Amino acid sequence: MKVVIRNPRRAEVELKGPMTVGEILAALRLSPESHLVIRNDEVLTRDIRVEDNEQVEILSAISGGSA
Amino acid sequence: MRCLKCKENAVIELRQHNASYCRTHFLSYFTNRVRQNIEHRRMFAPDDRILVAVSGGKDSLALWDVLLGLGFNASGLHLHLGIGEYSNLSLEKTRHFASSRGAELIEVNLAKEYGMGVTELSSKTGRVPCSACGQSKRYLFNKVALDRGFSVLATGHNLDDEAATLLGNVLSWQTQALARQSPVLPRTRPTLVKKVKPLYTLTERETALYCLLKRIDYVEDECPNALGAKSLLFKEVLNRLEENMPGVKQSFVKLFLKRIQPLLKSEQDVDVRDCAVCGQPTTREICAFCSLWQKALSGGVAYNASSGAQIEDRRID
Repeated sequence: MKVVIRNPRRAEVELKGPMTVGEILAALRLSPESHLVIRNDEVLTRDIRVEDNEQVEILSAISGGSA
Repeated sequence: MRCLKCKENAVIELRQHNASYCRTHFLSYFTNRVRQNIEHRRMFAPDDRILVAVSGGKDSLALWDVLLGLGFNASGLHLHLGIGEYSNLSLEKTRHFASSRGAELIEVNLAKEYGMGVTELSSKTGRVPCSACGQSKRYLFNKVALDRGFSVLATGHNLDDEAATLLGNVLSWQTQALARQSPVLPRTRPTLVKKVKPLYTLTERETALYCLLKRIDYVEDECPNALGAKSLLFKEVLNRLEENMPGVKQSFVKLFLKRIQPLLKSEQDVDVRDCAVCGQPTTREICAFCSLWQKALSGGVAYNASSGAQIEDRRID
């Protein structure tokens, strides 16, 4: 599956599916407390299974400054 | 995972509340939390004029959106801080939101009104950018609110911000800062506007989700000056704890406010006076903002805050 990390730096990663959202975050060492996983405009909880032929985006919710 | 309320597919799991919610019930939960915080802490009333400090990030835009949705009289204040493209993008997102909601937006451009932005201010004074930025923001938020007759200033500080600040202050036992850390800072002087943080019990993940679900277009990137900031490290550590101890961030902040902060109140009894230059409250003869700008401009121009924000073409010394 293709995983697009949106921020703070955009990156694309390939992972072997199927995996749950919780497993994807763990594989990428990203905290489930500070990230949202999105598939086709739908926000997923950690138990949702993502198939190998699907794509998800990961959004970091952390901000350390203000404009 | 199913919504606690309606059994539809959930969009978020909130382990700290042992709950999960669908889109509709999450938005309802989020708005209710903000309303409860406002009422419980007596932040403001329906007839108050509220100035919301809006950076263009998720927290301040979510806050502004909720306040407008609840029917409050809330205008936005955006400071263009002169941090390259990041500031330009932030202004663009803020303007877009204000325009889409038909809300009043007040803009202050640091470089245009004071002669330079944060990046240059930092290099001329030797202060780290976040320090110069924070100083300028605190001062200008209060000044604009006072000048324009707003009764309350609301900021988008969330639970992660509050927990990270608390951890930082505890690690170095900053007792004066701890005494001031509160979701409500009352108007103790005529020149000091009341400040409130209606999102102080909501996490960053929740404010990001609120914006996603409401299709609020916000600046996703961090401020370039914040890279490597201690606050990010504190947030990371706290989230590691939260993964293993759901609710720990909330109890850390809430129990501090309930049990510890009241004991520190006496620390607030410091001698506050009016700044000799601008008249705003300070513990020194000249406030930190005026001192900072005098130092920055001492190379050829003088800072004159008493007549607003003017730069005169003459030497200070």
